[in-house]
Amino acid sequence: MSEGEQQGGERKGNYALEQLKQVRATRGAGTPAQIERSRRGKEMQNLILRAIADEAKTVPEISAETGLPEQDVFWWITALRKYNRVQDEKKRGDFVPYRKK
Amino acid sequence: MAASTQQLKADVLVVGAGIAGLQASLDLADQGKSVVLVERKPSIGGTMINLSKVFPTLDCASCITTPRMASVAHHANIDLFTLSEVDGIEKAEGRFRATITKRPRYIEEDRCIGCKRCEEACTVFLEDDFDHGLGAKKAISIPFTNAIPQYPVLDAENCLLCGACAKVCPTQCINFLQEPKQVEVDAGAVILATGFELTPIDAKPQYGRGGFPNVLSPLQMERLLAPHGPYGGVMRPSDGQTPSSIAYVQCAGSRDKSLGVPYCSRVCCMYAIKQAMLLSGSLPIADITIYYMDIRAFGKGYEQFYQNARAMGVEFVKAKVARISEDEGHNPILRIERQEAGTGPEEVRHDLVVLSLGMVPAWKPSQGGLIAVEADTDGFLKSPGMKLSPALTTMDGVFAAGTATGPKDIVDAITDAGAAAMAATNYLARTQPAPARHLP
Amino acid sequence: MTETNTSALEPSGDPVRVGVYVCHCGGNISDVIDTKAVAAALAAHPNVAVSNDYMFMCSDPGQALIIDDIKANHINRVVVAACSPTLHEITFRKALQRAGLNPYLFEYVNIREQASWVHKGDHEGATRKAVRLVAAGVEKVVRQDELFPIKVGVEPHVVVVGGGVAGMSAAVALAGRGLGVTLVEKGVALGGRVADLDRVYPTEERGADLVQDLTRQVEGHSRIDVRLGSEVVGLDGHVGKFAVTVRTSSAAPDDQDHLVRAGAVVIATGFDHYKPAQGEHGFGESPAVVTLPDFQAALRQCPASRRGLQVNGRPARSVAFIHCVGSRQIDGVHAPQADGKVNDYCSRTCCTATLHTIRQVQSRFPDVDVYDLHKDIRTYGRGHEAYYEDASRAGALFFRFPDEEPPTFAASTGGEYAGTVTTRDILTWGEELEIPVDLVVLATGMVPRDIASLIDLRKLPVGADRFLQEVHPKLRPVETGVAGILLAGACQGPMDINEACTAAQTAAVKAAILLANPTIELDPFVAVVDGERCDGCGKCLAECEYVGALTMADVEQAGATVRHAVVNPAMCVGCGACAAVCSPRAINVAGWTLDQFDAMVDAIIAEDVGALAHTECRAGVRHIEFAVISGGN
Ligand SMILES: Cc1cc2nc3c(=O)[nH]c(=O)nc-3n(C[C@H](O)[C@H](O)[C@H](O)COP(=O)(O)OP(=O)(O)OC[C@H]3O[C@@H](n4cnc5c(N)ncnc54)[C@H](O)[C@@H]3O)c2cc1C
Ligand SMILES: Cc1cc2nc3c(=O)[nH]c(=O)nc-3n(C[C@H](O)[C@H](O)[C@H](O)COP(=O)(O)OP(=O)(O)OC[C@H]3O[C@@H](n4cnc5c(N)ncnc54)[C@H](O)[C@@H]3O)c2cc1C
Ligand code: SF4
Ligand code: SF4
Repeated sequence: MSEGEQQGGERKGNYALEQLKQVRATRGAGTPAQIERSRRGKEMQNLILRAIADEAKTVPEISAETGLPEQDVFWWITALRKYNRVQDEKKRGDFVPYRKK
Repeated sequence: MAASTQQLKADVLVVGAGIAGLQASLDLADQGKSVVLVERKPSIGGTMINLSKVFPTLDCASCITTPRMASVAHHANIDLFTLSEVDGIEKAEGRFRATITKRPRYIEEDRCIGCKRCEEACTVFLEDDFDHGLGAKKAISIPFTNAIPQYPVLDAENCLLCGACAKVCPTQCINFLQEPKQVEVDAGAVILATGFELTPIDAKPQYGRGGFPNVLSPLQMERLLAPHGPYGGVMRPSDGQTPSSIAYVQCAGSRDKSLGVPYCSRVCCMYAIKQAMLLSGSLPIADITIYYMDIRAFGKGYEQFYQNARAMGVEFVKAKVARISEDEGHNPILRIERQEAGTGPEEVRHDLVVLSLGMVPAWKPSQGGLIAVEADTDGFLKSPGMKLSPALTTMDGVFAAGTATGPKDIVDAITDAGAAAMAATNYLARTQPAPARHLP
Repeated sequence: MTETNTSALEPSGDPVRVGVYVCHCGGNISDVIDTKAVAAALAAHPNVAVSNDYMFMCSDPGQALIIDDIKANHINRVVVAACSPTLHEITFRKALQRAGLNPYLFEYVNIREQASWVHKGDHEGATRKAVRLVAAGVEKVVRQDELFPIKVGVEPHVVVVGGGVAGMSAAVALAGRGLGVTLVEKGVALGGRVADLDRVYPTEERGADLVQDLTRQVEGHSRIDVRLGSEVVGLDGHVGKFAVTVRTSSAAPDDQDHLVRAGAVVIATGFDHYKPAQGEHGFGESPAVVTLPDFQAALRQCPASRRGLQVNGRPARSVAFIHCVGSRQIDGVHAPQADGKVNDYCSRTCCTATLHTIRQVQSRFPDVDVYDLHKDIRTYGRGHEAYYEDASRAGALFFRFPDEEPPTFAASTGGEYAGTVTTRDILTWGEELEIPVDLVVLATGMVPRDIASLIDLRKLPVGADRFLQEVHPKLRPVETGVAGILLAGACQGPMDINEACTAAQTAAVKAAILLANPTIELDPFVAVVDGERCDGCGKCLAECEYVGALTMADVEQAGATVRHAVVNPAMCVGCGACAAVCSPRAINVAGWTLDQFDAMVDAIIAEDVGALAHTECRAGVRHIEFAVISGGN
C-alpha cells in the first residue's frame, strides 16, 4: 500500500516563491557557513571541469594542475560523474582518466 | 497546514524495515493479518539493500532484496510508513498504542512521479549516506536507484532555499512548508526489527580513529563492489588509484572488551571472505590478505565457501594487527604479529585496508523512547525464552526479529522473522477475541 | 475428478500489442550488452508496440513503466528481458495483474545469466544473442493463452515428522494457530537428542527440562495427535492435500497403518552423531578415546568424589579435546565417507559444546588438566564466547593444529598416563608437541539421520552434505523444492536448540500461510488435453512418471462416449514428457505449447527481427481455467 495521502488540487503558478518567501523570513536563506561551503564547492567544480575540458586526466594529474588535494578532487569527480557532467575514459595504468562531458 | 493525527488500527506493528522487518511483515500479511510497518529511513531495505552480493550464494543483493521490498510495498495488508519515527509505544488493556511522527520529505507524495528533475537541478552537493560518504548526492535526492518508495527527500538542514527544484518540478510537488505528521496506531502485538549498526570506525585509537582515507569500513567496500557503486569500480578514496594490495583486519571492533564488544559479530569473517572473492574477481592481479585469529565460517555451506576463497588464492594470515598508521602517500601500514612462523612484530604496507567491524544494536533499550523492553548485557534485546521461544522479549506481546537480538546473517535474520511472525500470530489468537477467519 | 475449462480459440478482435522492456540490472547486463540496441532491434518486430530499456525494471518505477503502457498504450502482452525468472517472474506477473491484464500474458527472457554473465568478453556477440532471445520471447508471448491459477482446497492439518525440539516446537506453533497436527516420532518418547543433554549452553537450563516443557505443551493440546514408535511410509498427494500413511509397528497388525490427510508436511528428523572410523585419532583402538556425547554422558554419571574425574572406571587426570572430528574434512587428508565424499562442512555446534563441556569439567574437577586442540574456535553465538574466555582463564591450554595434520593418539603401555597426543601447534610457531593424557575426547560433528526411505517417498532434495536441502539458502530457508513440504531443525544442517526452534517456528508460519485460506493457488503450467485431437491412444500415459497425474477415461463428447487422456492438474508437474510423444499434438503443457516452441526456434534462427511474420488478432486466446480441486479424492 502506498503511504501517500491524497492532497491533489491545482497549484497557483508561483506557489513555491510564496512558500520560499515565508520560509526565508522565518529561517533565513542559508547560514553563512552553508553559503561559504556552497561557494567553495562551486569553485572546486569549476577548477576541475576546466582542467578536464579538452583532455582526459587522472586524479593526481588534476590535483597537480589545480592545486587541490587529491582526495577532494576525487570526491568531486565522483559527484560530477554521478550527475553526468564527467565521463570515464580507458584506464591508464592504475588510474582512470576523466573528461568533461 | 494543520497537523491532524491519522488513526490506524492493525493486528501487528512492525518497527524497522530491514530484511527481518520486511519478512516478518510478509509472513503476517500473507496469513491475512494487517500490519503497520514503520521505518526511520526514507527507503525500506535496511542494510541488505546496501550490500553488493551476498554470501554464500553470491546473489546480487539488489536483485534479491528488491522483490521483497516491492512485495511489502504493494501488499494490501501492509501499511508502510517511511521516514517515520516511533516516538513511543504504550501497552494498555492488552493492546499497544504507538505514536509515530512522519517526518516531512518536503514533497507531496501523491503528486511526485519520481522523474528526478529536482535532483538534477539542485546545486547543493552533499556526502551520500547510502554510499557512506564515498559518493555524492544533492540536497534533494532520491535515496538510491532502487529505493522504495521512489520519492526524493529534501535535506532541510542543507537546503539553501534557492527554489531551483521547485522551478523544474513538472508536477509542482515540492512543498517547503510541509510539517511533520502524527500517526497513532492501535495494534494487538508488536515486532521489533530495529537491526544493527557497525561498531564505530573511530572507536579504536590504535586503528587511526577513522582518520585514514584508505582504511575503509566494510560497508564502504560493499558500495565499491556494488554494480552501481560510487566510483564505478574499486579505487582508493585518497586518489582514485586501483589498489593492487588489499588487507582485511578481522575482529576490528568485536571480541574486544576494551570496546565494550566482547562478543563475536558472526558475519564479519564471512563478509570479509565474500569481499575478498569479489575483489579477486574484479581485480585479478591484486593481492588480498585477511589477518585473522579464528575464521568462523559456521553456517550452512560457509566452510566450503571459505575453502573456495583459499583455493582462489586469497591469503589468510593468522596474525594480530596491533596498530595501523599511514605514510605520506596515504598508504596504510599495519603493524602485525604473526602467529605462524612468528618472527616478532613486523610492518606491512597495503594500498587499501578494510576493518572488519562488528555489530552493535541500532536501537538500545537504554536509549529510552520506543518501548520499555529490557536489554541483555551485550546491549541487544533480551531473549528471556532464548532456547525454545527465541522471539520473545521481556514484554508480553512484543517480539523481536533479526539483528535486534544479536549479530546474525541474512538467512538467520529471515528465519528469525518467520518465528517472530508465528509467535505474534499465536499471541493474537490467544489474546484477541476475533478468531482467525475460517479455521476450525 | 477435475474439470478443465478450455474455451475455443476465439479472436477477441484486439490486435496483439507487445511491450518489450530491456533491463540494465544496474550494470549487470548493460555493462556487456547494449540494451538500447536490443530495445531498438525489437521495436522492428511487427507485433511490438513499445520497446524500452531501463536501469532496474524490478524497481517500482520500472514496474510503473509496464503498468502505464498497458493502461495508456493498450499493450496486451509483455516481455521483460532481465535477470533470472526465479527472481522476478512473480514481481512482473503481479504488475500485469495490477494493470488489469492476465498475469500469464507475460514472458521473461533471461539475458543476464544466459547472455551478459556468460559472454563478458564479447559485447557484440552478447548483444546479438540477447536480440535473438528476446525475439523468441516475443514470438512465444504472442501465442500465449490466458491462464488462470489452479485452485486446490486445503486440509487445515499438518503432519510433523520427528519429535525432537524442532518437531515439537513446530507442532505447538501450528496447533496454536488453530491447525490440526499429527506428530510422528520414531522413538518411544519425544525429545530427540536434547533429552540426552545435561545442561545446555548458553542458558545452563537442563535439557530434560526443555524437553519436558515442550512435551507438556504438546500433550496439553487437543489438536495435536502424537504417534510414538511410528514412521511415515506413504506420502502421496500434493500441497493442500497430502495423503500421509503413518505406520505404528507396535500396534495390532491390522491397525498399524493410519491415513492422515494434511495440507502440509514438516520434516524434523534431526541428526546423528558422527561415528569416528576405526583408528581415527585412536578411536576404537583404545578405551582412552571417546566421543563428546559419550563423554558428556560419562561426566553426568560421574559422582563428585575426591577420586576426581572417572571415565569408564579409569581416572582422567589429563584430558585432550580434539575439534572437528568428522567435520571440515579435507579431500586427501581424511578418509572418505561411505558415499565417497568427505564431510567438508562445519558442524557449527561442536566448538561451543566442547568449551561448554570443558567448563563443566573445570568447575567440577578443577585439578584435571585440559587441552583443547582446534583449527579455529567458532564460539559465534550469543553467550558462546564467554565459555572460551572462561575456559582459558581457568587454565585450559589451547593448541591450533594445521588443517592437513590432525593430531594423533598413541596408547602407552605401562606409562603414567594412558597415552600421548601428538600435534603440531600453530600458535607456538608450528612446534610439535607431545601431550600426556588419560583421555581423548573427540568433538564429533553432526551427520543427517538415515531417512532414505522417507526421502524416496517424494524424491526430497538432498544437498552435497547429505542434509535435506532448502529451495534458496538465503531467502527461502525452510521450504523444499516440493511445495508444501517444509524443513525444521537439524535435518537440514547443524543447528543448536534455539536455531532449531526458530527454524521450526518459521516452518510453521510457512505452513500457516499455505493453509490460511480455504484454497491454495498453484501455477497453471500443467498438461492440458485438446479433446478434439486426442485419439485415446494412451502413449502419453506410458511416459508419465507421476502417479495420479494422468489417466485414460471415457468422456462424453458431442453425444458420444470417447476415450481420452485426462490430467489431474494438482499432481501434474508440467514436465512435458506426454507432449513429446503425442503425434496429433493433443496434449500440451499450458504456457509451453509445441506451437510456441516452434515459433521460438524460428525466431532464434531468423536473420532479421523485422522480417518475422505479424501475428494477427490472436488475442482471442484460449482461457484455460481449472475447476477447484476440492476435498476428498
Ligand atoms: C559489511 C557487511 C556485509 C554483509 N554481508 C552479508 C552477506 O553477504 N550475507 C549475509 O547473509 N549477511 C551479510 N551481512 C549481514 C546482514 O547485513 C544482516 O544480517 C542483515 O542486514 C540484518 O537485517 P536486519 O533486518 O536484522 O537489520 P537492518 O538491516 O539493520 O534493518 C533494521 C532496520 O530498522 C530500521 N530502524 C532501526 N531503528 C528504528 C526505529 N527506532 N524506528 C524505525 N526504524 C528503525 C533501520 O533504519 C533499518 O532499516 C553483512 C553485514 C555487513 C555489515
Ligand atoms: C554433543 C552435542 C551437544 C550439544 N549441546 C547443545 C547445547 O548445549 N545447547 C544447544 O542449544 N544445542 C546443543 N546441541 C545441539 C542440539 O542437540 C540440537 O540442536 C537439537 O537436538 C536439534 O533438534 P532436532 O529436533 O532438530 O533434532 P533431534 O534432536 O535429532 O530430534 C529428531 C527427532 O526425530 C526423530 N526421527 C528421526 N527420524 C525419524 C523418522 N524417520 N520418523 C519419525 N521420527 C524420526 C528422532 O527419533 C528424534 O526424536 C548439541 C549437539 C551435540 C552433538
Ligand atoms: S565473525 Fe570472525 S571477524 Fe567477526 S567477530 Fe567473529 S571471529 Fe571476529
Ligand atoms: S563447530 Fe568447531 S569443532 Fe565443530 S566443525 Fe565447526 S570448527 Fe570444527
